[in-house]
Amino acid sequence: MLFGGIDIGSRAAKVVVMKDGDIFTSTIQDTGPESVKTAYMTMNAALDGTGVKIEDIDYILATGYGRVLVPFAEANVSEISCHAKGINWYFPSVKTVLDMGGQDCKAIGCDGGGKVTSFVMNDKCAGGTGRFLEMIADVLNIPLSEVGNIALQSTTAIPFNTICAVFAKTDAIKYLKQGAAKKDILSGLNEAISTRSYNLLKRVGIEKDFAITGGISKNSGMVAKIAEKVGLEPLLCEDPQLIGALGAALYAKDKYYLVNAQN
Amino acid sequence: MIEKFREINSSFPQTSYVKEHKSSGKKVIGWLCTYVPEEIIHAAGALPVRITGYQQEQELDDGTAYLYVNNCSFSRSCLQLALRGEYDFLDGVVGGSTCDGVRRLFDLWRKYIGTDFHQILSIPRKFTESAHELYLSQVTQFKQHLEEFIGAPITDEALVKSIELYNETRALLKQLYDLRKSDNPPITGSEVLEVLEAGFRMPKEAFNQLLGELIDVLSKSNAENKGRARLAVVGSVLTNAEFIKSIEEQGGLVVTDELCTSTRYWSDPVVLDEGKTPLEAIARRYLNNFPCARMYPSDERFDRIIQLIRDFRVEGVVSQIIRYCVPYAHDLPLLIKKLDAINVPVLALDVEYGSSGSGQIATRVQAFLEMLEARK
Repeated sequence: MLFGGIDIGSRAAKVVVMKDGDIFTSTIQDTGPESVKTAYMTMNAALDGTGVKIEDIDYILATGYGRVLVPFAEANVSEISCHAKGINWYFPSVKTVLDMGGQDCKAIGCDGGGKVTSFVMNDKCAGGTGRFLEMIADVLNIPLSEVGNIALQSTTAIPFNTICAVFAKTDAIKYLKQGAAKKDILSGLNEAISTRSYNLLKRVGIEKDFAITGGISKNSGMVAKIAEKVGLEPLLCEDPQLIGALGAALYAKDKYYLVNAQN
Repeated sequence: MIEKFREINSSFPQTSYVKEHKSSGKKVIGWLCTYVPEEIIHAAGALPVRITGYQQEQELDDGTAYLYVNNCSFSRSCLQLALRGEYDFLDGVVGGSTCDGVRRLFDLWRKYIGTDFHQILSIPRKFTESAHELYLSQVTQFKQHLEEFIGAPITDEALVKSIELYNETRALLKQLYDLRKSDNPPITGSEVLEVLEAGFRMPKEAFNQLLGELIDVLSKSNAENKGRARLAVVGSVLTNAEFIKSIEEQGGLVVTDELCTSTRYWSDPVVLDEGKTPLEAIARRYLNNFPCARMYPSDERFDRIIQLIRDFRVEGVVSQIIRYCVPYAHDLPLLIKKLDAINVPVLALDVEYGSSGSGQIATRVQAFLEMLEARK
């Protein structure tokens, strides 16, 4: 049996296909302007070389902000539920999840069974999200994947008093012109974003174990800052950016059996 | 049947009823805030019309030019409509000093809109006897000013008639809400808001008639609305039915609310006792009614919400608070704590006035419904 989960995020589209309870194939692609095209492209990329076609998958479930636009998905579940479900597969002991995504950030409280018990999302603005870090990396002219490691080398973080994407960008340019080191600017931004994330976490209540998911959790500098504030070492799975899609694949399996039990 | 109410709402804010009333040479008085007693306006022979902002979320450029952005979008939305002449049909405007947003709106209204009659009532924040005395003096003054404006006395007989009429509206709305207590209510939450909206811009005589017909139709119909979880909507002023519709489209069943445009508007009748003048009875009802978050102690409101949750078997509460709506924002942590104690989760949404509940709000609502379902 094959179950597919597709997570169309604001910046990245992810697919996880599960077979016999294990991850069979997965991929991460850039989200394009058209969700339908992105959905096909991402699913095809995941299946490329496996000999499996979309129609061979028994049940596909979508999540992420483009979840309602996936033509081959039979159902959709919010990314909040999917992250709780996905992390539970890796770490059943997790009670608190911080999902740091492309355009929003969510703190999720869950029980030991992968169910959400409470959640808080940041407000509408994209300050302190993946898109924001991308923009700063661009200003500093360094690859996004290097942001975390470079920031870790800093010993004197430059304090940013705003994470408004527009103002922080202006500030970053100002500091660069003043001759500040890129590592110190990045470390300062990580500090500001982690403070905001910590505040979200406090609103749902922090309970052991603690995990971080989403694209930003690949930023080691950010993870270190959050760990320091929360006082708990976050559990990180192999690819935390895939957790939403993994959760969707797990929900696909549940839904498949639910639907078939009813028929 | 709901189409009749939609038809009324389709001309906004000046409905066909308002036009008809005006063309007969009678006055139309706008009221802002549920602490303004409508019965007094009605007893003066004028048509009371509720002042609200745009039906949808809008770019508030004119409103923001006059009212700084730290005033809520409700007050800016109302002002913009007025600045653009949409409330020119009003002969008077009456407000309550319930919150800063409404007070500043009133200041600017008086200065720039130039409606003939205007009055703002000081509304105490407490329920004590001295608060009642103060409020009664405000209501009395309002009545006198209105009499001078109309040029005729407002008699006790007229007040009693108006009280009876408005109490009938309240009784009918209670019947309508009672229908929502069933497992599968015959009417949705968004439809109920549309019904109430129509009532704000038409004579209560005609509204009661329509309401009666609606209740008849609904009581006999076998329409059933099913949902994943029973919800109550609480928080700031809400007039856009689309917001509730977007929750219901995701499977939420909105069965009740604590809104000044719905439950808080109609909940308590005016009680005419021996030894109380009609005006005293009105004043007592309006100050003691299901309170706004600006009233103190807050428990008066929380206890009523908890009662609603029990009566309507609510499983989850959606709080929607307009940015800078200070009274509701400050009360929310206390409310969440109270509801947590009875194991009812709250989804807290920050909105702008007129929001249709799309985008990220929809994601939150979906996740909230999934969470509620998982608890069953």
